[in-house]
Order: sequence, then C-alpha cells, then structure tokens
Amino acid sequence: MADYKIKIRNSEQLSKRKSYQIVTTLHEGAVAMAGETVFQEKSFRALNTVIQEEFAAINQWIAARGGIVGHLKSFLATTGQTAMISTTGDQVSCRLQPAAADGSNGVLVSIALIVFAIPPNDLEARLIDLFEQLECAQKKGESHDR
Amino acid sequence: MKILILGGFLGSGKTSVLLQLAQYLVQQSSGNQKSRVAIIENEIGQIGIDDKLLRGNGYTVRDIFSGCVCCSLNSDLLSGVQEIKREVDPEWLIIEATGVAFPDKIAESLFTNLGIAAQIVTLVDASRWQRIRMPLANLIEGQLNDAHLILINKTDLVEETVLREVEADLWELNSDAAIYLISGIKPIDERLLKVIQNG
Repeated sequence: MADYKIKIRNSEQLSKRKSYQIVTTLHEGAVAMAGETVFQEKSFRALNTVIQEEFAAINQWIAARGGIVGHLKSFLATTGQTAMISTTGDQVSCRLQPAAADGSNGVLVSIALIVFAIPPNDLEARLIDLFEQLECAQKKGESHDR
Repeated sequence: MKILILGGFLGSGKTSVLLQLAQYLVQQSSGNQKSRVAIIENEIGQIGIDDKLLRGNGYTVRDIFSGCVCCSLNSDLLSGVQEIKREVDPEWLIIEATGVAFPDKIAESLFTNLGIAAQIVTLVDASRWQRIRMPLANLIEGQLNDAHLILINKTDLVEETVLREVEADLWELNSDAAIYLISGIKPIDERLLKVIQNG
C-alpha cells in the first residue's frame, strides 16, 4: 500500500487536485480517493442534492466499467446541521443530523470514493467533475439569493 | 482497558454499530461518562468522513488516516493505543478498522507488541455478500479470520434463502465465531450488545 501519485500532464487537472485536496491511497486492490473543500453556507441543500445524484451516477459508471463500488461517502457540515451521504453501489442514503452552531461560515464538504478495478486517473477525473458540479450548484444558489 | 476491533468490508455498517455499542457501553459504565469509551478511527482515505460523524455524537476520537493500521500504519496504531491508555485510560477502546483491513493482523500486533488481547467483531453485509464474495475473496475471507463474533448486517434487504446461504458460507469460513443477525432498520438488541460487552 502506498500514497499513489497519478501521472497527469494536464496542469489544469493538477491544480484542481490541489484545490480540492485530493489524495489517493491504494490497499488490497482498492483505490481510495478523498477530497475536501468549503462552499457557501446557503448552498447546503443544493450541495446535498447534487452529491446524492452524482453518487447514483457514479454507481452506474463504475458498474458499466466492470468495477466494484466499495463505498462512496460524503460528509457535509454547516453551522447547526450535518449530512452523511453514503452508497455501496445500490441506493444512496442520506442521514441528516443537527449539530452545534459553531458560527463558522460555509459548508465543509468531504468526499471519499473507495472502489475496485477502476483506473485511479479516471476516478480522479470523476471526483474533480463532482466538485465542479458542486461549485456550479453553489454559484446558482448564490445568484438565486441576490 | 479492554480493546474491541470492529472489522468488516466497506459499507458493512461498522460506524453505525460502533455508535450503538459505544452508547451502550457508556450507559453501562459508572457515572455514565462518554470518556469511558475511546475510539480509534482508521480510514483508508486521506480525509476522514466517519470520524466527523462520531465526533458529532460527542466521543473522543483519534484519527489514523490514509492507510491501514493492519500494515503500513501499524506503528501509528501502537503509539495511539499507548497514548490513549496513558492520557484517558478508558474502560473500553474501540478500534474501527478500515473496510479493507485484516482485523486479525491488528489483534496480532496488539498482542505481540503490547501484550493486549483484543476482541474481534466482524460485520458482513448480507445484501452484498454474494456479489463481492468471489471477486474479492482474499480480502473478504481474510477479514473473518479469528473473529470472535460475526454480525450479519442488512438482513432486512435479503430473502431468507439468501440469508441461510450467507450463514452457511460464514460457518465454513470461521466455525469458531458466534454469528448474529442485525439490520439497520431497528436498533441492535440489548442482549447482543451485552454479548459483545462480555466478549
């Protein structure tokens, strides 16, 4: 097992990997890829919806490529509320839970994709794509607020 | 300090069981203090997800991320256990292994290096057993080695015949373990929690 460095010549993808703090770990044939970032507080519900929809799409994408979903999971935290979104290849579940109001601004979004038999660079591109969709959802939420 | 290792494949329900078990152990301890239970959360990814959920429930959690304590991060585990013993000295230390870890290797290391005998509880996802059993045989079978208790989870999602087949497979792979059925749609029976508590 080792911290895995994916060879990518595309500088845009490298910069996005850094921006979303994406790190890959390999163990027993599993590719574990995790990333994290903070979005605007008002977008909690929109971000939750996008992650659930995208997890369902990633399930299908992995199955179509002959891979195995280990666990796709995400934790969203904003002041007063958290959400744990999870799937093991079939249905996507979401557990909302009240949290202490810590006064912080923004929604912390952590995502981990743990899969088998999918090339790491393809999975990284998929994770970056998910974070970009979250950015779009957040921007739409902001424009609605204005 | 008693140590319990919670193992089992990715998404088998380890964190949900941990939350119920930790709550039960706290209720059973004198003073009803959350400090009586400490948790080591090992996640394969660099960024923790489950630890955030556990902290949200008020438990003290030590993280070990980006690898498995059964192999490359074993020294982190040993130092973590020693530190928890020294600074918190809880009645119970629960180690949630990653979904790709071999719990028997963790137990072996704890015994060899610290002289502590840990109990292994391994979870199995009944709804996925047949799908992952063959393609991931080495990992799935290895996770059952030396388990004292096997909890077959998500039993509400499969037919009775499938459940019997899963049970038969598990008996074949580890005939020494006690096997219990649980599901996410109802809380774990207190009698089972007591069995886990009593080892």
